[in-house]
Amino acid sequence: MRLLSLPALMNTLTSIEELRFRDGGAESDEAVESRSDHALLEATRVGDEAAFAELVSRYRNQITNFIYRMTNDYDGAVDLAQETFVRVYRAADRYQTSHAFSTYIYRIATNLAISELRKRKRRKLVSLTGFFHGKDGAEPVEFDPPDARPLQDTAMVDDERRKAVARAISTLPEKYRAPLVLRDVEGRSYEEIARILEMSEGTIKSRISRARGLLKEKLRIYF
Amino acid sequence: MNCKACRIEIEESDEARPLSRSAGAHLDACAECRVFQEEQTALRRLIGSLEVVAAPADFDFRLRARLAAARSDGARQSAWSRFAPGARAMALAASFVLLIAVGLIVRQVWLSPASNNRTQDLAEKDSVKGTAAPLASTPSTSGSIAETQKNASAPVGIYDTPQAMAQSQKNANRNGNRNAASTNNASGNREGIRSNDFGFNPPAPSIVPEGITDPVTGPKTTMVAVPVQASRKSATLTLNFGGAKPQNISLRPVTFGAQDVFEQGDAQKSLIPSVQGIW
Repeated sequence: MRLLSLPALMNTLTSIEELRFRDGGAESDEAVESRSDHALLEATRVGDEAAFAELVSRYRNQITNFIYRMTNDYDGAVDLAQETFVRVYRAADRYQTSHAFSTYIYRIATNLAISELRKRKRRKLVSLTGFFHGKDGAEPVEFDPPDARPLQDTAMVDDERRKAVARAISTLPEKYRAPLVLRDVEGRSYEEIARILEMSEGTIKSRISRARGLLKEKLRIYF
Repeated sequence: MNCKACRIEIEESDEARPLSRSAGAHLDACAECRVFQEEQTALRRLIGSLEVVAAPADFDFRLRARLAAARSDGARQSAWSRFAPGARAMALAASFVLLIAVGLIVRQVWLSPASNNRTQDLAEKDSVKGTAAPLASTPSTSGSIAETQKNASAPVGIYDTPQAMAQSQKNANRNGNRNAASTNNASGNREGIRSNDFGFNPPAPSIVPEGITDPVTGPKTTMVAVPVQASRKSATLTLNFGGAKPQNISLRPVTFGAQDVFEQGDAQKSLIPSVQGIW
């Protein structure tokens, strides 16, 4: 993944006109919004950038949220989400309408997120909260010492619990993480997850079950 | 319904869709499965409690900038690709250059004097197979072969008559440096033929052990003995051209350092016969 800062991006531009999605014609905003994903991508293929802008507005939050849950890194997630759209735009000519567009874009996002996780693993980033690992190569154990202080605020407790859940998800092996996030965070069906990850439904069900079992162990103190 | 089937149904169920009647009946009867269902529900709620993260406000702006950058990169690449050869062409050109380089190296090695001499040696070996005396090849380095050939074409020796000398020269041309080995072989003494190992081949063919008839040059050739153990001393050669007064030539000693081995104590007497080898 190539991380580009905004000033660096601006330096690559030759004119400010490039920053505007050009209108594809006299089509109104309502007409564009009512079109299906396939139709929007077809229009993008012939140069209708308003159609592409509509696709971006439909999926930017979902994709950013999904990648964030996969990587537990907001800035990285935003960057990967943008990379996802760049790839969709570049590969618009090769897109085939055999599957739903959501399956297609989630597959790209999943692949990017998994690549990023593998890069991080190669870089051997040291997590200050992940020093403790199970015996014999078992799943890493989250370092979460009990806080004996009195509760300050319910909102704060909720916030802490959410952070713990996010951390617990981020410690799952990637093969379990992607199906779990797609199922329990994104609410995708087993069938769709199987298509996104290009696996059988049985494998997906098995992995989600295993991921939930691991999470249950990690988050037992919260329920 | 058993516990396993019930738990699978619980895991695969949506919150919006209730469990089947049989699963519900099993849950009423099985406390463990009920606990399992409660844990699953709690876990899903916990995961579901994660806030939905939204893209930043400048997401579109940055994406457009990125797309514009990608477009300009693409334009730059396509402009370059008009002039630059493709990867296949580059690979083809590289392999062609490599092939030529390998060909040149092989040609150089094949045409080098060493390989020529080796080829000639092989051919000569075939041609000399029919001779009476078996020929043994002396160990030689590639660098010494050319030297040997050169020396063999002008043999140094002592001959009774000019005809004998001419005959010897012809034989030397034919057999090259094998004369030395063959004569040595004829005497049954193969020890001491080591000078070739230094990459220098002396004009050995003409120096043969005393009293032994050279199988190639015939009985008319006068043999000259050069005892190795006396190498530190000057050698005297007696030239006898039949009837005429013999002439004595004194040869100055040549030291290669290996003589030291032979001149140490008893080994000199016990190990080295009168004719040790040919330098």
